[in-house]
Amino acid sequence: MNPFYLLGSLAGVALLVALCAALFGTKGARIAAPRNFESYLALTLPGFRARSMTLGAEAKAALAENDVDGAIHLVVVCGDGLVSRRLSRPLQRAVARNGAVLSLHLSDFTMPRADLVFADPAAATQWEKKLWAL
Amino acid sequence: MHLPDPVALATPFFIGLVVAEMIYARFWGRGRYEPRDTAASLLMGFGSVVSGALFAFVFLDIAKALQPFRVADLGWSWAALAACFVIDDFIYYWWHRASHRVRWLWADHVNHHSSQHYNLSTALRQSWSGHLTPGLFFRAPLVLLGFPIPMIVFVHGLNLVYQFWIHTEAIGKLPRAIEALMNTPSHHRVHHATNPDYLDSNYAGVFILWDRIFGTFVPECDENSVRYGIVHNLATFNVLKIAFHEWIGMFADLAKAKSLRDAFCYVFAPPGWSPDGSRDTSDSLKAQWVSYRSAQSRLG
Repeated sequence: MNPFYLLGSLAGVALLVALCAALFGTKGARIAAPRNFESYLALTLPGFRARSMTLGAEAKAALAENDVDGAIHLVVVCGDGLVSRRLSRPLQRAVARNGAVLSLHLSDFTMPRADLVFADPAAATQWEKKLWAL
Repeated sequence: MHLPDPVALATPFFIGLVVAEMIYARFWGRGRYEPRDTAASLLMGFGSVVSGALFAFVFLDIAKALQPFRVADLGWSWAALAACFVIDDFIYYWWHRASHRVRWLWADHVNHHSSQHYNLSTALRQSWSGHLTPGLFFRAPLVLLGFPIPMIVFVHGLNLVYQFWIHTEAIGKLPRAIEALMNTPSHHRVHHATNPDYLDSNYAGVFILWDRIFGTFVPECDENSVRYGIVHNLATFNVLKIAFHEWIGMFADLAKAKSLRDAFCYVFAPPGWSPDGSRDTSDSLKAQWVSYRSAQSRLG
């Protein structure tokens, strides 16, 4: 392969991405309110009803407990979209709390870790207990 | 006979159309772009070109090994070219269907579906590992029928070029006659959807006819607006992770398989298969929604 062709192609990619950033901005999504990720989960999980929900202080991650089966779902912002995972013992390698910050370490190649910043340590502790109970 | 590479020739048009679509989406609102997603798609395309150039010999060597067993010499004619194109598209349908239903093939194909956006840059989000799957053997019949190998490569390139423009939200439904026969943006939006009703449908390359004949056609429904991506969307724009995540998942499952049957199924069963049924396949997801809707309608 011609190295100049390869370099030129990469330069072309960079220019297109720069144009995209100029047109659409680079600010990622935020979960504006719990109902946003609740409605997102309702689209993907038949009959989903949130028994309890919490939205991280940075609006980049959220947890929801499904009233139907008690499962806990993690929703995180990725770019301008959302990604969710049903938390389970095999997926969830560890949960660590540092004050009001809950860190989930996952056996997920594309999402090895998710951090939630709670409003206060008590809320973080409550959810930490729920996650350890999985 | 030496034929040009249709994809290489079309690449400048691809770039121009991506720019045009970006501008259209920004100012007229039909379609969405996100810079990191676009970067990932374009870099996946770049990697695919490099991988294709490095490993093109794999298909060519297989084809040359099969050529002595061909039943005829169809030679070069417009009729042969047309027939080769149609048969290649028929084969594409079955390869594509298998790529959604056999995990080994899905490990390669999933990359193309991994974006939560649907725009012309998504069309360029191509895999790096096609040569590591048995997908190459799907085109063996073309060689055995007697089509010249350069013709087979050429028509396949035409097929791929056709599929570029259907990766867009900017074009709505086309006239009925076109929608009836051809693969269109509407049909292909359904194919890229994660909506349970749309999963595993519309596998066509050029002619949607194959889906209609073999029962895998699902029309786009305005009341069921499309959500794009895969069932377990990726939480990364890292192209190395995008390219190899499913391969790594498959090998991790193989490493802990408790029986030969489990190992076989981890590779050849549909994506999401697990020995204990704890994971979802497309079929189980669809069944869950059918069951839920039945229960809702009984209550209603």
